Amino acid sequence: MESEIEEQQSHIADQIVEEDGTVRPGWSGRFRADVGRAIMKKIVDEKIGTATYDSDNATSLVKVISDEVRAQMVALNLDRYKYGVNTVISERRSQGMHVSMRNFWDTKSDNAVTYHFSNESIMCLCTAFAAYIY
Amino acid sequence: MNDATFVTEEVSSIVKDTIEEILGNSPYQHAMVEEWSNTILEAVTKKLVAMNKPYKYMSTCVISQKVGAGLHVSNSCYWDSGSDGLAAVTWESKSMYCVITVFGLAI
Repeated sequence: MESEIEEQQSHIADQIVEEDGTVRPGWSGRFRADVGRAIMKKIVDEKIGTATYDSDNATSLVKVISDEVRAQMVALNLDRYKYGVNTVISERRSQGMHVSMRNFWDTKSDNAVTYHFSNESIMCLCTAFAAYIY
Repeated sequence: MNDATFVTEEVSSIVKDTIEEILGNSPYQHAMVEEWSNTILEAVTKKLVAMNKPYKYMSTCVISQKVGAGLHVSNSCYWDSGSDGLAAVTWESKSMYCVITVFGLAI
């Protein structure tokens, strides 16, 4: 997991200029879902772990997770990306729940990644979007 | 104001209207939730795209049954604050919560 993140950081983000002048990211300049998931897994597992649900604590916890994930994605040094991170934390009380997403974007360059974590009393779902700026 | 900007209020009202239209007074039904959330997001995305602005849209929808369990949602963004925007709408009825977040990122 660590190695994937480091590998991505060590690459120089490349870009390809098409004949018509539009730009798109090359392989090493593209946001990769596995790297994104590795970042989320590291942060979410560490921040929540075996903790039990506490509403006061959870309010700050969601913010911290979103901010950390965003900061580490920015640190991947993929120049032309914008990021949006959305985190949901919920207490587990055998309630029904459904989460979905819809995107309108450029599939050649943009990507989304989700990571789901749950222990006995908390469930956490982290979603991140990466959109390329041309 | 420039027409081609992401106006949070405008997007929020689109989202709210769509939720009202689809969820209305329905009680929470687990078999229907997947369909509801897909229909809501599909409708919202279609309406946003129909405005013809140079934006990419990413939206998430959480529908949760109300049983007294805590639910927390947060967003964090890295973008150009001059052009990009975020609309977060929370809606609740007697039996469920619905939280929708729409990111609009300028191309």
